[in-house]
Amino acid sequence: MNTIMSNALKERIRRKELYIVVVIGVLLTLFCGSDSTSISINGEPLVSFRNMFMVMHILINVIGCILAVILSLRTIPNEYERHNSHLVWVRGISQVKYHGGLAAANVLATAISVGILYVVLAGYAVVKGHASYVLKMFPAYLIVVISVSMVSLFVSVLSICLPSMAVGAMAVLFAGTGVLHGLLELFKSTVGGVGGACISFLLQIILDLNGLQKQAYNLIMGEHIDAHLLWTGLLALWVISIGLFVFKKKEA
Amino acid sequence: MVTISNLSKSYKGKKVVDDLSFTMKEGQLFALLGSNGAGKSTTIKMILNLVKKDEGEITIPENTAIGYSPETPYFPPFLTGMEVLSYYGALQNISKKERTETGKALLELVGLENDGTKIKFYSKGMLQRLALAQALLGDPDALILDEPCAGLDAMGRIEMLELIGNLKKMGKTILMNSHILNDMEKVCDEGLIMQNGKVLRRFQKEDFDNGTGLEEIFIKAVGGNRK
Repeated sequence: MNTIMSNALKERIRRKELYIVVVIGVLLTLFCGSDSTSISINGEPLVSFRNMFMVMHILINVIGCILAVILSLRTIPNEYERHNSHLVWVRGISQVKYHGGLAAANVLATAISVGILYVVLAGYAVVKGHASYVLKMFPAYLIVVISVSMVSLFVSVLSICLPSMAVGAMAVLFAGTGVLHGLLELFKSTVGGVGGACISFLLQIILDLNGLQKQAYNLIMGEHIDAHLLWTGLLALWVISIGLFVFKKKEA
Repeated sequence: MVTISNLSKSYKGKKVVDDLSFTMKEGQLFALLGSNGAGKSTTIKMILNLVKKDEGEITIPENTAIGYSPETPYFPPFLTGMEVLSYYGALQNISKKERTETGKALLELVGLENDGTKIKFYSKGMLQRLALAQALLGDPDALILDEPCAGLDAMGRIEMLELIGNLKKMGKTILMNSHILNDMEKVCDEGLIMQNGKVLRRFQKEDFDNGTGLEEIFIKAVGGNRK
């Protein structure tokens, strides 16, 4: 599985899309962190370090989720379309190991990209005289990785058995609901009928990815962390990974 | 060595392989011939368990290693030939030291330089050679070659056939599938002609001795059955 993972990871890291999105992410993050830029909410400037750091942190989670979809969507289908799978199957590699290795490569590639964005964030903290946050950012990074890994794994597992278009649509729904969980909770109360019921259903089955991101932020800021959400995140990762054992290709 | 009995496969109710039987004898090259859609590739995929058979038996003696060279090989363009062999060798649990040694020897055997050239700079012929080299990893007893000369120019085909001939001399049992009849005639020991999943005719190398070429055998077999 390690061999498949490392080879697939090399291929993921070489993708142009990865660099484009990471560069956009870095630029956006730097833009948000610039003192000369004043983003405001309800007329209140958001230029204080704490607020700007929070905005950048949210942005990293959102960009990480987008990267997770981009990097994971075509990995497994491409292997089958290029018939790479033939050369793997004939060597007696099980589908669980094969798909597991590819999914792990997707998760790692996403984690590395988020890591790059996190380094930018750490740089911002240091420049602003908050170097003490940097150490706390290591465990916080792992929490954000749980959030983006969930999207990556979800996409990888579905891509074993569904066409890319369907997986893409479901990924957008999954990641969108996850990162907008808080907003949708608010929105739900204003929408009734079928729409409200649908939103409620989605919020129940999809984990609060923004909530996870917030726990990471709280950890850096030394505020209270909801450990329940972290455990739920890990449990959700485990549940999604079961799909690697359940979903199988009939033919290579 | 490999015995196929009454093998059948259907896709959406259409039989693509219909009651196919043949035996690959040790050290011989068995040819599967036929036009596009005849069922050759599906047969190969069923033998390799890449496609599930509907009916029939495929008997392969225990501990028989089979190497496979696909029709359209794809290898990651950023790797070198040596790295590709190392990757597939690792999948076969071949030790790193052995992978390096075997990799060099196989590249030399198929006529590729171990000069660090990336796959993206490989020609079609070089890719086919590399596909053959990866099929030879672990020194398999049998080889299944799916259109190994597809897309090659005249010189490339001559070199590939020479290579396949050498592998036969080394004692490898080979199952090869091709549309290029002249090529097959040069290397095969026996074979069969398929159309619409069915066997139209079986032939042996001796059939060519009386002056009848494989092309003539093929035209007679397929021509009389064209719908």
